[in-house]
Amino acid sequence: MTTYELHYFNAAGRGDMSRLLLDFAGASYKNVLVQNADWGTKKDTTPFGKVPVLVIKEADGSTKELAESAAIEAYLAEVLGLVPGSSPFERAEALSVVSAFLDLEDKLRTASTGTTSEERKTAHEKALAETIPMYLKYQERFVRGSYYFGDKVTYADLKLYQIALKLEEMYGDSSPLKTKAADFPKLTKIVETLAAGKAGDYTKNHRIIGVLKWFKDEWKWGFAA
Amino acid sequence: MPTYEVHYFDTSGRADLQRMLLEVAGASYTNVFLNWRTTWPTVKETTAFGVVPKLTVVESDGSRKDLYETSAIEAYLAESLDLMPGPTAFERAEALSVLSALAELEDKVRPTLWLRTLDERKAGHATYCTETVPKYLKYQERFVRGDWYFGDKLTVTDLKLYQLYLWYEDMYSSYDQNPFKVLAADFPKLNKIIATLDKGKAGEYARKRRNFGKNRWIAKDWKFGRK
Repeated sequence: MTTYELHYFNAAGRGDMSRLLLDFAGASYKNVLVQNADWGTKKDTTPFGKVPVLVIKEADGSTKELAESAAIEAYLAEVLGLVPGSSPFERAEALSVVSAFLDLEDKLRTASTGTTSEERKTAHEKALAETIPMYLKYQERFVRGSYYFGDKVTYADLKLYQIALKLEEMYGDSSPLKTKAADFPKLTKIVETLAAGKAGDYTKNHRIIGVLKWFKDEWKWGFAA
Repeated sequence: MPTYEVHYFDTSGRADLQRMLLEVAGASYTNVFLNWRTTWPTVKETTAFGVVPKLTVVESDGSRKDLYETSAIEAYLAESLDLMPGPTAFERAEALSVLSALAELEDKVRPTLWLRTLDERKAGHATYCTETVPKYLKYQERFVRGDWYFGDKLTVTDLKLYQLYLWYEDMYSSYDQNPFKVLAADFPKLNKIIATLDKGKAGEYARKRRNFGKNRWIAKDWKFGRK
C-alpha cells in the first residue's frame, strides 16, 4: 500500500487541501510539520524552496517527492479517484474549477496586502460585497448535478469545501456563502453534504489550524503564539 | 485529429504558452481575438468563470468542447500534444510542479506593472530582476535533468521557461536587463534550453506569430501600452 507524508508548516494554509484529499480518501498518510526554526535548513532540500512537499512511499519501498500545492492536489485527486474521469479533458475540467478558486484565494491575499487595517478592511469589504459573490456565481452555474461533475465527488467539490472553511474562518457569519446562501443553492448543498460526511470528520478531528490565524480586527492572517 | 481555437485578446499574455505548445506540436489552430470593449463583455458571460483564455477543441466529427483557466488548458494541451515527460500521473504532476513554480515567479512581477509612478516601477523591476528572479531560478537550474528539464524529451516545462524568457525580453530588452542574460553565468542549463528553443519552432513562433502589433512595452515609461 502506498503511504504519504505531507510536509508543511503547522498551519492550514497551502497544506489544507492536500490533507483533506488524503483524509477524505482514507489514504495512509502522516503530517510532517515544519517548525519555523527548522525551515532555514529544510528549504534548500525541497525542489523549489517551498512547502508543501508530498513524499510518496510505494509498497516496494521506493520513495519519490512532489512539490507545489497545485501539482500535489492534481496528483492526489487522480491517484485517489477524485477526478471526474480518466481522460485528459475530464481531469483538466476539474483542474479548471480548482484553478478558478485559486484565483479567488489570490484576490483575498491581495486584499490583505494594504499597510493599514483601514485599507485592508475596505479591500475585504469590497471582496465580500462584490468579488467573492461574482466568483461564486460562476461556480454555482458550473455545477452539473449533486456534485460539480454529476453524481461523483471530485476534488472540485472538496476545493469548494476548503474555500467554505476558509471564508468561515475569515468572515464568520459574513461569509457570502452564508449571507447569500439563497443565491448559491447548489454550492450550499455540496458544502452541507460534505460537512455531514468524511470531509466534516477531517475538519473536526484531523484538520490542522496550528499557528496561522485570521486576525479579524487587523483583516489579515498572522502568527498566533 | 482535433483542431483548436484559442480565444483571447490580441496579445501574448496568458495565451502565449498555449499558442506555443500548439505551434511546436504542429497542431492546427486559429486565434479568435476578443475586443476588450466590443466583444469581450458579451463573451465574458458565456465563459465558465468569467475569464479567458478559452480553448475550444474541435474534434474530427465536428463536436466542440471548451476548456478554461490557463493551468488547466496548458496541462490538457501538454498531455494531448505529447509534451509531458511521460504518461503516468506522477510524471505529469512533476511537470505541473515546474509550471507552477515558474508561474509563481511570473506572478511576482505583476504588482510592479501597476505601480503608479515611474520611479516606483523602475525600482520594483530592479528588485525583481536582481533579487526575486535569481532566488527562483536557482531551484529551476538545479532541477534540470538533461538537455531538457526532463532529460532527452522536450516538454511543456521547457516551453514555459522560454515563454517567461520572452516576456522578460518584452519588458527588459531595451535596457539590456533580461535577467536570463544578465545572470547567464549562474543559469547555464536554463539558458541552453532557451537558446535551443530560440533556434527552432518555438523561436519562429516568437518572431512571427506571437505579437499582434498592438500591445507593447513603452521603454521610457516602464509599462505596457497599446498602439
